[in-house]
Amino acid sequence: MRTASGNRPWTFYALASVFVLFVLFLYGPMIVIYVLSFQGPQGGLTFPMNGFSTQWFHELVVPGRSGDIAGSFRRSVILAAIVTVATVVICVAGGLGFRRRFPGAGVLFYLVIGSLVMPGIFVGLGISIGFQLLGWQTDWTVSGLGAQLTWTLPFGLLVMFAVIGRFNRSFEEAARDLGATAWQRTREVTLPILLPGIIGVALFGFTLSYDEFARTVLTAGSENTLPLEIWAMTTNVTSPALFAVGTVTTVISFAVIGIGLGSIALIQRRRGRGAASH
Amino acid sequence: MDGGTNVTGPIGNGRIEVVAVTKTYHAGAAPAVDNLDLRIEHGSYCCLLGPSGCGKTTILRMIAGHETPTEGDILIGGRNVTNLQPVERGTAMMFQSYALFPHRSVLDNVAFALKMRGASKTDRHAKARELLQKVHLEAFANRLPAQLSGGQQQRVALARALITNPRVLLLDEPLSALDEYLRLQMRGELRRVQRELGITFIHVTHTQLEAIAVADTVVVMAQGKIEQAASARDIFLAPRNAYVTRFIGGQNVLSGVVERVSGGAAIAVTGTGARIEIPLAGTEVAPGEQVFGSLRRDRVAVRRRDPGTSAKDLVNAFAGEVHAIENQGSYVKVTIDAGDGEEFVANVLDEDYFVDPIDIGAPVVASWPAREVRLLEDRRPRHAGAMAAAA
Repeated sequence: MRTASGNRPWTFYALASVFVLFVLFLYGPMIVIYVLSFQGPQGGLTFPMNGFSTQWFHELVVPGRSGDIAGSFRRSVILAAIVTVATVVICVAGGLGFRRRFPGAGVLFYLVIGSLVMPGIFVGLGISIGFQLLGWQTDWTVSGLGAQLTWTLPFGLLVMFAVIGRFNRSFEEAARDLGATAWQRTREVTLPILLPGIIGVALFGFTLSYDEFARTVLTAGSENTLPLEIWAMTTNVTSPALFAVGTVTTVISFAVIGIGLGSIALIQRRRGRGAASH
Repeated sequence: MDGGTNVTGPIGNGRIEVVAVTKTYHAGAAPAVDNLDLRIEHGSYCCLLGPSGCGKTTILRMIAGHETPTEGDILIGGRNVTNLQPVERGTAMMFQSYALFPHRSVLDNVAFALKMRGASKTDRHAKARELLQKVHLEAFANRLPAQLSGGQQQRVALARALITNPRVLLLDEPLSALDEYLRLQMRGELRRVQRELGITFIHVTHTQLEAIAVADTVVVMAQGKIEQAASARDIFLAPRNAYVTRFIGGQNVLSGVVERVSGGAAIAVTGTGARIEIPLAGTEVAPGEQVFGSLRRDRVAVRRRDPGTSAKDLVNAFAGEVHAIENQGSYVKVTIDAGDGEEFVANVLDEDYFVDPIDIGAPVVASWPAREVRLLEDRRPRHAGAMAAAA
């Protein structure tokens, strides 16, 4: 863009400034938290940095010092894994099923999407009241799981619609023409071609569940997931250990996204190379 | 595994019979294919030709087994296949966009049908390499489809379709994704492959010259019906009606109201008042009827019009203005506007044209020998009075 730099209109500079401010607003606070999580042993919750240490990270794994971080982390990961699997299975099946027009398809679609619009906190409240009514204990593996699925399923289904919308049906017809059975078509053609999109749905499922708060807060029962634990910590932990949690969870989120996107890239590469080797 | 024998079906008879087939997609809507009968001989190259929406692709897909007729039957080699799966029909289809599986190598794409039939990897890859060799792509066996050019992809699609030794190959607009140069090259290639294999090819296209260039039999369709099914030469030289004549091109459609019949020809008055002779070849026409004739573009002579010429005095000729000039190399395409709405084209040999080049807008007379006009099947009673007179 060297040639244009001499006579850029003023709007370029105005919009560029807005963009810079936006990026600062987006990432600034998180960067502050990452930096502060390495606060020295004598340091407090705010700047200035009083030395440098990894002490606050160690505190996270010592039981009782700053809540049940390890336990809630374990629960969150397990829950997110279950939600991911359920979301992928149901959304892929649903997305493929919706390709065929059936009576009531429209109504069903709006019913599913409707739960995206409902305020999450009330969804959670409704579920917990329902459980009370039935005399059941709320628990993160039951009511918590259900509450999170009301959020991830419609999301995943919408993503699947977008993925399937770009899928050319003549691939399936070609497979059928070449003698593939319905199951062979799905396994050998449809799913492999859709796989990058399906990994996308899985990523959505995992990250939406991993930091879900509104729907989970009233349905998790007596044990906390990680976001609930962090929320509790903000009210009773007054050390940079809180920031250390933020840094660790960010690293984990990025790791999950990295694994997801990396596996998409790897699949594409392996296909090229794998084909060459036999 | 002895995949060598069980993975390749026998080459059976590829005679196709479409019997009274109707296909309606939505209840109440006009049928895509309307009570259609068609017979295609084994080992012939047949083109289904027509504008988009004429039902040609629907017929192809019904023969392939990707659509089911609403009514009627489809027979291949004398056997009713109407309710059989595509794989049970001995047909193979080449899709318009080729539909090569993007996640599989060229080799695995070609070997796909054998894999589905349970052939071992060694067997199916050996057979696939053999086919790739036939289409001169053995060097590309390990590429992904996206790494090939359009022409190469088309050849992969051809190899993939042929690996099961089909008795019928169905091609859905196989050349439409290619550029002009490749299109001309590949249509010759398709014809060569068909000859070599001796199986039935059914090729759907909306390009007239493509159909005439490759096919033994051309089937011209409009609105779910067959307008004419004939040899490529007959379709070009002896179109049955005005629709086929106009659609194929290469010929002009003349029309006029019959004034009298004399000497085995109808003398008809055209919209501009000129008189034309149409040889009847034994067909009966009545005075007052509107009749139509076809006239090859390359049989028309064009000369400058003298100022005094009156349209009404002309016989086997008409007066008009040059509307467009297109140099086609060996001839010049002169489009003449006679003011009656029908496009009239004369293909003038280049050496004749450039002796005295006529420009756009020039008044001209186009004329032709009467014997070059062929009567078409269309008839239209012109006036109620004329009809009564004819009766």
